[in-house]
Amino acid sequence: MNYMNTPVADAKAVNELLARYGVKFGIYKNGTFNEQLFPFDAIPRIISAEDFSAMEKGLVQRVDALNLFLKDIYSDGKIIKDGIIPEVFVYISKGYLAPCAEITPPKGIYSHISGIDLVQAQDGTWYILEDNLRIPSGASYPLIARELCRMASPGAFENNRIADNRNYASLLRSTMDHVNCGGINVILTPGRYNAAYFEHSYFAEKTGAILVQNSDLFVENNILYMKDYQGGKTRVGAVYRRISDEYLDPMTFLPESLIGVPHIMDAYRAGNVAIINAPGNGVADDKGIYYFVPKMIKYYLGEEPVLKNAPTYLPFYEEDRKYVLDNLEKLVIKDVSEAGGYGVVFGRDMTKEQLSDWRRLITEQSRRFIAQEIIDFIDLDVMENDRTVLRKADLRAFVLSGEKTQVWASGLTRFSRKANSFVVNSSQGGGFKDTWVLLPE
Amino acid sequence: MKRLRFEYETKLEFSQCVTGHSFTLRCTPFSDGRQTISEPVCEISPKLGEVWRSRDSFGNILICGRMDEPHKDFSFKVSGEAQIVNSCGGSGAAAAFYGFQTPLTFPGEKILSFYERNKPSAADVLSRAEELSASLYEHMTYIRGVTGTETTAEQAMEMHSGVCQDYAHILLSLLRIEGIRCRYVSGLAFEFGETHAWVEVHDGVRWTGIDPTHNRLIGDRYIKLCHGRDYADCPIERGIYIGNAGSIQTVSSRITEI
Repeated sequence: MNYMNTPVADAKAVNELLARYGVKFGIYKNGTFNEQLFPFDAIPRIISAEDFSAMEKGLVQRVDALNLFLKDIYSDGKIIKDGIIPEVFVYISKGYLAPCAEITPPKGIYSHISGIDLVQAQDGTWYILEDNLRIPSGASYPLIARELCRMASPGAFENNRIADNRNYASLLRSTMDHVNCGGINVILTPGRYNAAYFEHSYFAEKTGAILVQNSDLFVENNILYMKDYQGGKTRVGAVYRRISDEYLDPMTFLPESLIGVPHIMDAYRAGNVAIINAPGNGVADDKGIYYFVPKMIKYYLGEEPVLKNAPTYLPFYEEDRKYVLDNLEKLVIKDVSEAGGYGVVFGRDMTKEQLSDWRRLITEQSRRFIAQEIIDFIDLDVMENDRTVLRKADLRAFVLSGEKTQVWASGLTRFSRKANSFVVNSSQGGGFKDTWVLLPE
Repeated sequence: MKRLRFEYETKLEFSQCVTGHSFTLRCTPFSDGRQTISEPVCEISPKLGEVWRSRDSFGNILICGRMDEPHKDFSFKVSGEAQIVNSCGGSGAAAAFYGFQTPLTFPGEKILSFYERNKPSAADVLSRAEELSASLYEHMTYIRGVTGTETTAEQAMEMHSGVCQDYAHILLSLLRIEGIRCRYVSGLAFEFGETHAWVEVHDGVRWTGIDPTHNRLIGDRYIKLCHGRDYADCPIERGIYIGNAGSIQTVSSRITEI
């Protein structure tokens, strides 16, 4: 490939700008917090207009079905009664929150911002790796990288028909406005020691929402307010919260939470504020529930899934368990209760003893794991010391559900910085690329 | 049928002034098929800040509030009249989540082996629950102070001792192994000067209360304040505040027949 039309020549300048703008990612390791730059590779991932249009259809369908699933699970549970999903997978999931039962969020939307991780196999087929319906992060990185690339090499964007991704802020804004229950929009951050603090402040600036911490908010008579500087109060209609469910409200969830807002769940239950994304979404992006998403699409929408799941086995089912135990060497095992690339092990990396330990663990705790075929996903060119090398990469697509469900024509491409490694998570030291979606000819 | 007059009060004395105090109280009983509550009154002291009502997903009445101003004590007192018709709880379906273990009821080796040794044999749900309650009652010794609010069913089983909360958690754990939907209840009982905890069992049609601490079905001298999957779902009082203060809690309750 010829990179003359890409910002590669200016990669160094772009990375310097990223550092200057504070585009960072925080990592906790051995109990200490370190901020590190999120390494940017200037060679973009390019997705053709045709490819994107199919992907778009599949993502909208998937997110619509997941939203319907959440609504169902927290009310009638029809999909369980109809025998499509065994109830144990729902109620044992750590993401299922009984305190959210019977609450219908504003406009019935649970997952407003969905981050769907995909990989492209060698034959060009896209596979869904996982759904992130809680607080998927990462949209700010390609957004600011694009902004800086446009400054560094404007020619690249004049000479290529690339979908403009700068609409993310307005998509986010209209998603918040759509469910706003009267009042201002705020972004609730745990503060600057959070891994994604850069993103919180960046979105606040771009959407006009106010960046707040819990001490800026309070609830009275089931209404959420923001304190202003004069000692007055302003009603809040929508909270894009960037703290996880268990820390959200110390009166309902973890009482020791110091970053939550007491009684925010009461305001939410009363229908006086939208919480973006809704609490309790973890039950739908659980690795165990993932297996059932294609079935959900058929069940709720009566459609065939456009995008494929990676071939997945649930050791919970005897037939699947037998297959997993017999083929462990070639499978990847994921612990359903872990996220962010933690709790992922590859059978091919195991010694004989480890294999037999894992076989025993899988047999004993069959609900805790899923097993997947390893998809040999494509390598992308990455610049390393002035030459290109091949590295595994995935794509996080962002789907926003407001008045309608829309896919952002861009996304976060993450790559592994180690040769032959399939783990691309930023928390595991991966880097990122901009994602160019080409416009139709 | 009995008509009861109840009064229940909790006082918290802090070792020094606290501020930014948020609280949620599940101290207000509500009517179901078994108990009809008339005119419950909840008085909160001191009178600082806002107090309002809410509900939770388990159907409990919540009294919520915030006191930003410094205060050194906090109390709430609820009183009213209850008409108790029989020993059975309300009818209606039980949410599926009542059939699953929680972190507090999750069985470990001790509970699992106890269950294996004491598998109930009766055909109907309520009789099986009573069998489990009877075995548990035999096995346990009521001792105060060895367990706390965060003690799990498994830990209490290991010590084979505890208080009403522990008896209730272990019974819930056993019932859920048995596949019976059940819930934790906090309330007032005639002969106790404090709050009490017991279990409600769903037989597919309606709820029935069992008191494992006394190995009996609850009678018409029990008033339910709130329920959930376990204690953590429905503490009678939950509060957070700013201030490096300890607190001393005193609880008193009085039930009289009318």
